[in-house]
Amino acid sequence: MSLLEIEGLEVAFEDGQGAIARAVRGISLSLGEGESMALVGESGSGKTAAVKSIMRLHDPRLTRVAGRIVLEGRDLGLLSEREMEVVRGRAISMIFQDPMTSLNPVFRVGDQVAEAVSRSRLMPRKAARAEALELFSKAGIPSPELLFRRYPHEFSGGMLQRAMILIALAASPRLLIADEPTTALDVTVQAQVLQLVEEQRRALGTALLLVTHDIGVVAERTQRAAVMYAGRIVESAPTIELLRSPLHPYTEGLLDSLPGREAHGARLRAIEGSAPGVYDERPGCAFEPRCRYAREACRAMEQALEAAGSGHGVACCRFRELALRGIA
Amino acid sequence: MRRRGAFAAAAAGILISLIALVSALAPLVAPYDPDRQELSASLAQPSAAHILGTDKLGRDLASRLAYGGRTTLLSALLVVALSTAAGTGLGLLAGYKGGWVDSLVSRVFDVLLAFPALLLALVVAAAFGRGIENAILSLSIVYVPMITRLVRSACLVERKLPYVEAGRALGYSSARIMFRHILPNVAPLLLVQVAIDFGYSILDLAAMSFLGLGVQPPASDWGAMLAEARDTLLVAPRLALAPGLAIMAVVVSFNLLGDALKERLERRPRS
Repeated sequence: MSLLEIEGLEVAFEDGQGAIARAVRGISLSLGEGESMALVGESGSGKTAAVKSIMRLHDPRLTRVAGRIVLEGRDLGLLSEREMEVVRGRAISMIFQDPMTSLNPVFRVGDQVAEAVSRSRLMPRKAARAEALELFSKAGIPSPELLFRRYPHEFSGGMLQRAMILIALAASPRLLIADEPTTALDVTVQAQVLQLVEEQRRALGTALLLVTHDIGVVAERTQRAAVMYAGRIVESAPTIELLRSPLHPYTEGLLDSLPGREAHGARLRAIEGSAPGVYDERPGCAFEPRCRYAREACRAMEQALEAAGSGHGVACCRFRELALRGIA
Repeated sequence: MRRRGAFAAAAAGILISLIALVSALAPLVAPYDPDRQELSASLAQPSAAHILGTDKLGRDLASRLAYGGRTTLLSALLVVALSTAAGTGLGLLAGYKGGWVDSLVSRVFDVLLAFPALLLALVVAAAFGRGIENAILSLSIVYVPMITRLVRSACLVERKLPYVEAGRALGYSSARIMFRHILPNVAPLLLVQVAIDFGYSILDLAAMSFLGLGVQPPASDWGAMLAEARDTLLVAPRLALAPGLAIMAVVVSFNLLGDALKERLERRPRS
């Protein structure tokens, strides 16, 4: 049985004036125990809206969520808020994009790690502090005793994100959601932070759902990847297969825009145009206006995700005729 | 500019500490029982025996000032403590929960805020009956809306910050997030308001006692002393001046302290 099963998830935001922004338009995915999966897509494609709804972090007064989210056989949509509080941080944890603002500015970082440890492992405060300090050293944080007593503003982004990871994994959750965990960090520390996530989650057997817009990050870190566009999953496959032989033109476009494919000094290929907005209700394939391979038929109806080999799904009506380029 | 503010704040702090100390230690430092009448020494001028002289009933003014300060400061402390506790709770609740809770709290307090504070306190005190306990209670109620409004608006800002969402993602309960995570971030603002409210509550308590709704004779506070001094204002103005100056000194000091705190805390870098 899979750990997480999402079926037909839709997320829509009401702006209070009657307009409805449909951020997520029906996605389904499943994630096995200890498996790692990437959710790739550009800004506004609904990645964050989707993963936040797994933890039910949206304000229910302004958000409509439809579909089923099942974790270890339990439908999270049916849980009370109180029951959900137990799921959050224990069964599912989350790391956010900006570590500088994700920790409380008025408390020492060490105390915040200790708070998470004490709460999730039901440990007395003092033991939790010792445990947290231990975690600090294991996470490769230099001079842990010193940094333990510092405040968030005295930390670098990379160090803070490490602390955030420790907090998120304190309860040995079954699932870790990382929402663009390295976007706000220097390129030089991105790899180290991802390395830490990988080490820690493997040790704990935690599954990973990595949200990113950087397909390069995906390549090395995940077993499977799903590409999102305009609130839908357009392609989903084992990561290596997705990179080597993409079946959706949008995936190809993303790979094309990576440096290293063209001859040195050549211009990178961008995807022309821009993604449709969350208010866009045009029929047909959402990528059609930007697609190099678009035909009349693409405008007619929306293409559902279709099986194209084992574990490979694609939402493009022309995938059989196209021979798209991947990266070697 | 900066230095002058710091100096004023330090002076204010020292003055408040001094007055608080004398008031707290009144039984030890006051030379006489404040209520002991000595009619033969009625309206005595300051002397070695009575350093500030005596009032109409021959009671030692210095002793009464010390004991009166005790009542005044303690009452003000209670007003501030009660209103801050209630206002903080309601403000956090309204700001964090939003929705109908927020609407209810905000509308009710908008109405309360439309009344002049003292008038409202007088109405409440009139309803509860006179006496220092009721004066404290009614002023506490009157001070709640301002605190609530302040905490609510600060909480609205904090609620949108990622650390709150991160706390929710860790499964922290609303109560934990409100009181353990948002409150410390709101505390600096609250502290400034508390300092300023302390000064105002002394003033309002004095006004209520002056009007006879506060402390009841023979007990006394600075406001009641002012009221008593009215009869002999032309003969012995020092009887009014002493409590009046005491009130002024404390209120001004608290205002200076509040301003200095505000200056300091607003400078705090917020990331």
